[in-house]
Amino acid sequence: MTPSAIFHLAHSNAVPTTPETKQIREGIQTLEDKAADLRAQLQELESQLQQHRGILSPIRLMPLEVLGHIFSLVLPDILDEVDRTYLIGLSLVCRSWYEAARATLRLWRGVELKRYDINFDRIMAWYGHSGSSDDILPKSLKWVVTRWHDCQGRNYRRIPRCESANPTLARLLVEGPVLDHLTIKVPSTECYRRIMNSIHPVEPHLVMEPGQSFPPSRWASLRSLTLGFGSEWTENTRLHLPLLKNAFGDEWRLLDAARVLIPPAFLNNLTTFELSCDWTHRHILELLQHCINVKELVLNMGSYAGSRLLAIPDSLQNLPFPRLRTLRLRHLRRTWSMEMFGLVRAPRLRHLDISFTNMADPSNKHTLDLDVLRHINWESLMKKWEDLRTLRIHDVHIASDALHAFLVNQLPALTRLTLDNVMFDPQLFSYLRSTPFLFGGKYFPVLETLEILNLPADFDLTHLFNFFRDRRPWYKAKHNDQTVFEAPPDSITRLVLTYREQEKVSILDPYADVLGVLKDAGVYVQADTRYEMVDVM
Amino acid sequence: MVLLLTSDNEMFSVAEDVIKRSAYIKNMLEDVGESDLPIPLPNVESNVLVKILEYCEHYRGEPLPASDVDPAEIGDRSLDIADWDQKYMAVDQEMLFEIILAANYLDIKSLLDVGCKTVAKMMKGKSSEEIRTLFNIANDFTPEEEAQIRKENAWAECR
Repeated sequence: MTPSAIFHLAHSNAVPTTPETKQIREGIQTLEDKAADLRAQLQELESQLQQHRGILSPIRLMPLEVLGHIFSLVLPDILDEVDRTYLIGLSLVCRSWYEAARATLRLWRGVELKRYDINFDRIMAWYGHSGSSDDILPKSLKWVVTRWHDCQGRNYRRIPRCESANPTLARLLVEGPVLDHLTIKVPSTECYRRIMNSIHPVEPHLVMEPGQSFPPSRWASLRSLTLGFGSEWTENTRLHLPLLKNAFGDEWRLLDAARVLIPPAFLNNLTTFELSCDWTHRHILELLQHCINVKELVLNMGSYAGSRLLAIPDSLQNLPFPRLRTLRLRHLRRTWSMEMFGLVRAPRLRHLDISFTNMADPSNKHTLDLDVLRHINWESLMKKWEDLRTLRIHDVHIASDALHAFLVNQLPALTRLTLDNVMFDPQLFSYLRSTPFLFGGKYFPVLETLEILNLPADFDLTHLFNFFRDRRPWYKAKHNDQTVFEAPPDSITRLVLTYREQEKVSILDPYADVLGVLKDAGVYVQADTRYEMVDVM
Repeated sequence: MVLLLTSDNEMFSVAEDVIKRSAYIKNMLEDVGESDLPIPLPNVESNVLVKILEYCEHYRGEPLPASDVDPAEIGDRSLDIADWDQKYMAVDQEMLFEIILAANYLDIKSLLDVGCKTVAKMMKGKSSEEIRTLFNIANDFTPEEEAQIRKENAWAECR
């Protein structure tokens, strides 16, 4: 029915006759069919348009290494089942993505296994994608058993038998890739013992006794070992021992007889070692004494550490780390920290990172005072204590005069100083301006980066900015109000300030003028609530 | 000032300390020395160079990152992007990939990293099919090839 034929109906309220109704219904059907056709055509055109655009899309020009970099950003170093599924999904997007994934060797270098029905050959094929030779990329293996089970062999009906000790795991550790990083997370120390026992027949020296000689093995390549037990597991790298109370319960007397048996050859080989435990006993020192090649040492004594190091024999009074460059001491408490500083000998130490436990709270009675800090004997810790390059102090309340005494005259080669969540008197910077400096010239003569992080809202920045002005004095020229500097550029080129509360960044508004001068002076000032500290240690 | 000639024959005069964020230009200036001749950028169009210069200008004066450090190798794998960078990257997909290609060509590592992180955030958690749709990528595998890859890696996937 043409539009003219229905004109009189469309522009009135007249009721159509029966033939007219039939014709109009047919007309509706015709129009609906046409509309559907047009919609299909539009869809087809849009699809063709997308195809054309897709052909010209710059993503096709993306080099494989850039795609690989993107893939590595969305995936962790060690891939569990979900991550592996995702990586395979990325490979299946198209041929070039497949090639990019295959060409990015580091995507394939770490595997986390949780299942018991694992296949040795398949896992080796996976590792094979990270390079055919063992020494191309460092490889990692993580073995995780979280399911609770009967480890003691008591044959409880409802509890499955321990499956921590898996023959494929044992084979991987003996015949598998040369590993740099090994993580074993099992529910209990007993599970770990079972794993060791399962490996024993093929690799007898893995159950280790001090003084034993060790033939070369896959284990000898390890640069880090992480052990985790039950609920006390944390994603710490390196050796994580169970809490004392978990390991020995109330049987404290067992502690004297207990030993952490790791072969000296294994420890000798480590270049990075993180030890997390709360065992304040000689076993720990016995382990550390063998870490003679370690370049980075992290001692995390946990928030439980409260007691002194016990029964330190004379032979362990000096712990030499001839190659140690970075020392991180975590969760320190006063007594422990001083004792460790007294034992460690690190002539090449360049980077020191010390953090405390819940000591940033001013109401905490564990405020570090001068008496405590001055017991750090730099000359015994480092052969040339003035060689320290970076220092980070974290999570502590330091008495007003103590931090000054700690920093003054000690650190002429320091290039980076970080005070992170440190409660201290802002007048520290005034003290530094007024006290004579042993080496002549100014304090921190080569300091490049100063980071003061997690500041309280009421922190007075005047002293800090005066400290900067003292290092490179300036005045405003009368005729044009330009800043005139009276000294050559200062060594400090980066100042980072962060506040604990987001809105507090506006606190810096009154200092806009001085911040502008610092920028002119070549000091990059970063003030933010979020800050990713780049670890240069 | 440094003269840059884009692929569509537009000339840009740029302050040296701005464009030195590009390791490619920086090295070229060091090798060639001062010259009045423009540096041709046959892989960069003018509209993309404008965006690149906006980035370089914003970070003018900030220390250059070490040129030999691969962020992925030092463990900088966070997908966090600074607020300004996020706004800067709020462009259409075509421009986003053009920026990445130009950053790669001009060797501006920090910009390349921000671009890659932006793409990584877009595709994180998405299936192959969703990624194809998102980026308008054709599936050029045969069903047999796809099945073979899946079969080879069946052990590794979630069950």
